[in-house]
Amino acid sequence: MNTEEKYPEIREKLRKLPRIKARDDFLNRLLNRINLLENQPLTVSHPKKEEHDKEFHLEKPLSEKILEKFSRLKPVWLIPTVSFAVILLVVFSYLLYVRNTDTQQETVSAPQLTQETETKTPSFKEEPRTDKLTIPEPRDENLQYSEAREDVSSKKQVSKEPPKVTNESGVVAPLERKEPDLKTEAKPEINGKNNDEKDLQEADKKLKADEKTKEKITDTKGKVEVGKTKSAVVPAPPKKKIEIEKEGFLEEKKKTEKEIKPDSLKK
Amino acid sequence: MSEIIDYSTLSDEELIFRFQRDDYTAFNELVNRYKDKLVNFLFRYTGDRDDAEDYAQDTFLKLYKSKHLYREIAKFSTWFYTIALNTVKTNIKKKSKYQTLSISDYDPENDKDFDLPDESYNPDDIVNTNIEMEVIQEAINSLNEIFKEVIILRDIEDLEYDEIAKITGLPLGTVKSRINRGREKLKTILIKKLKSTE
Repeated sequence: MNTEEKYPEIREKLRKLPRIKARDDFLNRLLNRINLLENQPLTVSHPKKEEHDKEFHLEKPLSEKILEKFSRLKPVWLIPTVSFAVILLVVFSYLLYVRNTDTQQETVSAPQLTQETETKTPSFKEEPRTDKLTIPEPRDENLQYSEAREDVSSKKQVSKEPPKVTNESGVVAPLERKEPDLKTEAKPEINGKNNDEKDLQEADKKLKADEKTKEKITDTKGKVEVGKTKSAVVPAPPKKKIEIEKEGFLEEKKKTEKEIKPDSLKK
Repeated sequence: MSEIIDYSTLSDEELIFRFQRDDYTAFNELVNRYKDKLVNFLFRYTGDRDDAEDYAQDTFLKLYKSKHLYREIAKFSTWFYTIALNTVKTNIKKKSKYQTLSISDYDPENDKDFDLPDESYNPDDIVNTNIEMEVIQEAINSLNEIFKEVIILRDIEDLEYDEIAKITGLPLGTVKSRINRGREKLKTILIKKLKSTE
């Protein structure tokens, strides 16, 4: 009310303004525009095209439809999707490469370890074969090898021990440890042929000779079987042969023991 | 027996609900009721008779297309004036852009490109030759839009404050203050114009 009271003369002037009326043809013009508006959707409507195609059997095959859908992809979406796919491919390939290298390293490291162990093991062990045809050796033989090795080493220790010298009174007095004379002690090393070492080498040679005989036997059998299956494991040699070999080995062992034993121990 | 309905006795809301159920006679009745009011409102807003009629037709077309959008939350007149106000605002914006372009291309040697607004009214219209009326209309036209819309709705269309607030989307206090300030500005403009004519 206050607003009206403030400027009543202005309000009165505005109210007294003549009313403008619409023209007579206003309604007709409006109806014409409405008719135009109603006719427009019929000409513009697209969904009826599919119905028309169905009616006249103008439907495209599935492959063409898929191609059309792909062709409708806008570059706005296509570029990021393709780039993302490329990145994924690169990452996947890199991961595969890393995985392969890891497996290769594992496979490489395993033979290295075996080689290292082989170098640590004594020289009379079997050499790796090329034909992959191996004889499953009986476990007893290995034990025998190891025993023989231990025996030989213990004898070595015995031989290395300084010989006890007897006094004139007959009492055995331990020799005082002398300073190592490089000139005198180096000789046997330079020559490299102590009695013990010689024995060991001879024993090794004999063992190798035995192994060669074994190989020959297996090769003859293997040739017969290789024709069937190369990867087949050759059956173990007959027990009699092994026993014969064992006897031979034991005899050699006894001989070496006899030779190694010093005169003082024999007494 | 179907009853003969006297549409003139029905309220605006009843008519729009009938129109929503595809009763085109109800739409015709609404057009007849509001065409003069709307043309008058739009003429006072634009200052041009042809533009006012065009915008009025646009408003009725919008009503025809979006009849289903009306809900019984507000009065029909409020909803209808809101459509009309939005229509005239958007059209004026478009026109102002067009005018700036045409002015930039103005060639003083060829004045035929410029059509001056037709201010001649029909003979059945109320005679608007009175100088005072012309001056008032010019003063309204020179008002800022924010004052013009509220003053026309309040003092010419004689709508309530809360209705104006709903149509313009402004708080009631803002509407009142704008009406007050608008009148004050209109008074100063009128004084200046009347002095200059004297």
